[in-house]
Amino acid sequence: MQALQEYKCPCCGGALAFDSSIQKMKCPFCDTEFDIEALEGYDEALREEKSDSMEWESAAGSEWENGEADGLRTYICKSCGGEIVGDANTAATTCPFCGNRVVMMGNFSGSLKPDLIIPFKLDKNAAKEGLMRHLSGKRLLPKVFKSQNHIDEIKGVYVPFWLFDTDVYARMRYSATKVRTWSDDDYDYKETSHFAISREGKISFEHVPVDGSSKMANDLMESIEPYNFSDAVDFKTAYLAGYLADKYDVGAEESMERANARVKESTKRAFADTVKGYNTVSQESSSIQFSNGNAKYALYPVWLLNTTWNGNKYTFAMNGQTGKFVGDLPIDKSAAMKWFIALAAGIGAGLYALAWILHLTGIL
Amino acid sequence: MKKTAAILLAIILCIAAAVPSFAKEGFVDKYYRASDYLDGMTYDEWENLCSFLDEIANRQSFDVTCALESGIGNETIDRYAADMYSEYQYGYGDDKDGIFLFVNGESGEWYIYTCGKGTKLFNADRINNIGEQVKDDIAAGRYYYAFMNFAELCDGYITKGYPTLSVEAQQPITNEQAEAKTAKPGAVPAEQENSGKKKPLSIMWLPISFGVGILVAFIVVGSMKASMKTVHMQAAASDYTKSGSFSVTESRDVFLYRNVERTEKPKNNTEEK
Repeated sequence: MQALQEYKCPCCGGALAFDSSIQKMKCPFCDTEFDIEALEGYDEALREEKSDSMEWESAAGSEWENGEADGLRTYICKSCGGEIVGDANTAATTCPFCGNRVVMMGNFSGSLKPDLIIPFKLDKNAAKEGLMRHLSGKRLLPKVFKSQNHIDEIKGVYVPFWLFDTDVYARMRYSATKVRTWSDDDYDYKETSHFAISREGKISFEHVPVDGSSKMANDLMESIEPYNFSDAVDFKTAYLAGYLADKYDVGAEESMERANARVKESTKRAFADTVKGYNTVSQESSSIQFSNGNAKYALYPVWLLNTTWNGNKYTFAMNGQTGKFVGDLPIDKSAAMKWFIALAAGIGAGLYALAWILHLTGIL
Repeated sequence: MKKTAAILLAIILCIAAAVPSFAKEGFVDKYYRASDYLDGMTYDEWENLCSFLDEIANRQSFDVTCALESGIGNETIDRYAADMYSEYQYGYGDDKDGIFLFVNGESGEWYIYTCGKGTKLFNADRINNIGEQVKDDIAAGRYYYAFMNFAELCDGYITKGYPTLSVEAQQPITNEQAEAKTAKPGAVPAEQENSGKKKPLSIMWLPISFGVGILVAFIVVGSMKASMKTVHMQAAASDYTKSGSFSVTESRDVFLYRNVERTEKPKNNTEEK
């Protein structure tokens, strides 16, 4: 059976959770606080090569292959004996019967162990406030969206990310023109000078994040960037207590393509910015070479809110470190039409009145 | 939604109804029937003249108009008069029936232009007769009297109807006969000075204003909709550039060639209004 890790308070036996406001483990029953390091003994269960952890994997015997994440897995809660159902990627969750917070150690063992984690800086209340700020001032938002019913459905999730570092050497070629115009009594003249531009150089990137979970929409995860890497710490399972977490199911190799595309685009923009003083510039060719590339596996904090309205599902996300809140909102079409008509009529009437005033004063 | 549309329609109709209608049917009435760009008449004289010309036009359904210009550049006077008559949209009905006395105050030249039915009502004899009656006042700078005389003579001829060769050749209408037919000029409401001759605001400003309003509304509502969409892929990784790592090791800007295009300027025709 998969090893479950539960963090119990040494004082009263209650279930510990990671408190983002103090950055420590805290017992919600007796308010005792514990440093992460003090609970390091719990992490002794993690080993580099742990064949026992393979027992619950699929018959194929390899926990790294795709497809295993599709299956459901069952775990037994140590506190109440209840059956916890999750998928193979679930790494931290809450017992639906007793609310006990558990960590699936197998999903963080061996080579699945994250290198880094950015702990949650903002708590659930901050996420609620972020949602209210996101909804405020949106005149085209249907009123039902602002009802309190949706606010409690917020989950704190550690999302698996691959962080890519690379050095880039680039050669870029451009064609550019300078235009000069002048006139005399009889003719207008336009002189166009053509140039060949080349640039070579290097640039480095670090911690370029790519979402490693197929369950998380990539555009949603990229929208809440950037994360401040200076808050990243070595991974400890204690940080997961109280939050949900999944291990990655999109490998580094698959994620690399996305990182490469973003790095390439940044490189092109950086070199294009060095071509100045021309009326037109167009890129002719580019040669971009990566070197010293490496990838790290990290968990980043995200507050997620899912809601359904009018048969459509809406997902909002807040960066658990910086508080950046994103999420596409539904548009009330009747409100949009009312605004359009009111603005068109108001501005049109105002302009017509202004035209009359100018005409009567002799200006128009 | 229906209520909003009904309110909007009511607003538009109220604004449209506020636009006063000055034009008698058949006339464009874009400009006053007398134009004085030389200040050859006093304001009262110009008012009286305009009132008289308006009265003739409404009664006869025929446009009698005049203009005093300070110069016409290199244009010929007949061409200038015809262009001005067209630009000011004088004339009654589709054929623009009317007669127009144009005076170039700079040179003392004058020209009588006719259009539509005017070409038949005012034959050469009648025009010559009118010219004989007004030329002395024009030459002396008594423009008001010249234009009033012109208007009275025209009114008389219009009342008389189309000329017959034998009668008209023998009996040209006189000023006294024309005066008997004219009405007294009434009071003209003071609206504009001599130099500001334009009619009230063109109705075209209504669709222009609401067109601009629709465009602005489109832009504003579009930006409100755009603010509702905050999820998008990041195109680049600029936030993750290692500080100080960017360096250009080689930079070359090579001139290739140059070409020059030449466009002839259009020739300007001198036109003064």
